[in-house]
Amino acid sequence: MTIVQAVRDALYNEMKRNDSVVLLGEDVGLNGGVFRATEGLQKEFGEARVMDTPLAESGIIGAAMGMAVNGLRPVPEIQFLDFIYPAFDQIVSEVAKIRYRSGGTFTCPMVIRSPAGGGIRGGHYHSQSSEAYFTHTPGLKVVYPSNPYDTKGLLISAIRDEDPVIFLEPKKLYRAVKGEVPEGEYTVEIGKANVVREGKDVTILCWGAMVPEALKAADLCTPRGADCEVVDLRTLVPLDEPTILESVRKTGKVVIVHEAPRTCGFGAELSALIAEEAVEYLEAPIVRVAGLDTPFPYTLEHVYMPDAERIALAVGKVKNF
Amino acid sequence: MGWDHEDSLREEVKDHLIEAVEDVEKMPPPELETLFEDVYAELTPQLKKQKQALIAERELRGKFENTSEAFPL
Repeated sequence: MTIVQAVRDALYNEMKRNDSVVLLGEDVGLNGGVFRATEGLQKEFGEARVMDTPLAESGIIGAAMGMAVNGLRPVPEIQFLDFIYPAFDQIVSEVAKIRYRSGGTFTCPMVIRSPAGGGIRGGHYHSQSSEAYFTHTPGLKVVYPSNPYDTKGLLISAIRDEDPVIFLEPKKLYRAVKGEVPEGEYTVEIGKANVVREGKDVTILCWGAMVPEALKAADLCTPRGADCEVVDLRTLVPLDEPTILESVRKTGKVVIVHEAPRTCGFGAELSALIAEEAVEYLEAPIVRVAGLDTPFPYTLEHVYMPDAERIALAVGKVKNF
Repeated sequence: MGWDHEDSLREEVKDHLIEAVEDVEKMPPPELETLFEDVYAELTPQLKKQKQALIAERELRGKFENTSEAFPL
């Protein structure tokens, strides 16, 4: 199954299991989603549960919040993460704070699903990976899988979670990666990272479309003399600090990879955490391989995005410090 | 009325656009230095640093492979 098929499978399972789960978004109903993530679901579950919305992100999230507060489990889609900003006020001022400001009287269980990241020649407005705006907002959980198995399990967990979850899907990998995905329901725990490759020399922390690049980098590094451990964070908030720190304490060298711009990217948070909690184990500076501090480019996208070779060069830098 | 004029204006603009696209598509890809242009009026210290780093990386690597996937529609 591909990642986008895993999304659809998770939605199908949860909608069958729980009548309160509803979908809404641009082109999700009749069209089945521009990436086919919701294909056939309106036909199966009806227009009352799979709703085509106007092109109005703040309305999509506002309406979803109204549904969530009133007992439904909405899974609104934002067609590209780049489009989410009109809904930012709804997310930050309303969705993220309703439990807190109502002292738990009102809650907002919902999953905002959105394809994120570059690598598909999407240019400035179809390539952003702006998870950092949401990891910085208390009240939200932020999940970012890298493979079909985790995608289905995490999306099911997110839908069942009592808190609002921002669920980011790496569109570069939508069809490019296939994996074994069990039929029926299963969950992957939110808040747990996964060590996808064990190694003793250098820890690579990554998520989303950077995970396959990190694994390729690890293969490049082995003959160059560095045995890499690759940790797929899977959830950014709440962060799995024990798994991350255990790996750092083991290797003493860290490379963090994200496609989002360097300044105040989530790698900055990870760097601060590691410096606070494990500085005595570090044998080299923490190195971040990140996108440039520029808008996401079109023609030179392959120069902008961290790739296996750039990650391998960073590994070499910390290994030889 | 103005409708005939509008039709011919549309055609003219469309031809202009197609010509511009064809011209650009014939050009070689831009230099990587252009990645840093027009973010701000002037390059910030951070951008200068990132630009040096990328230029140094290009020296080391020679070229950057096109790893983009097709738009996953």
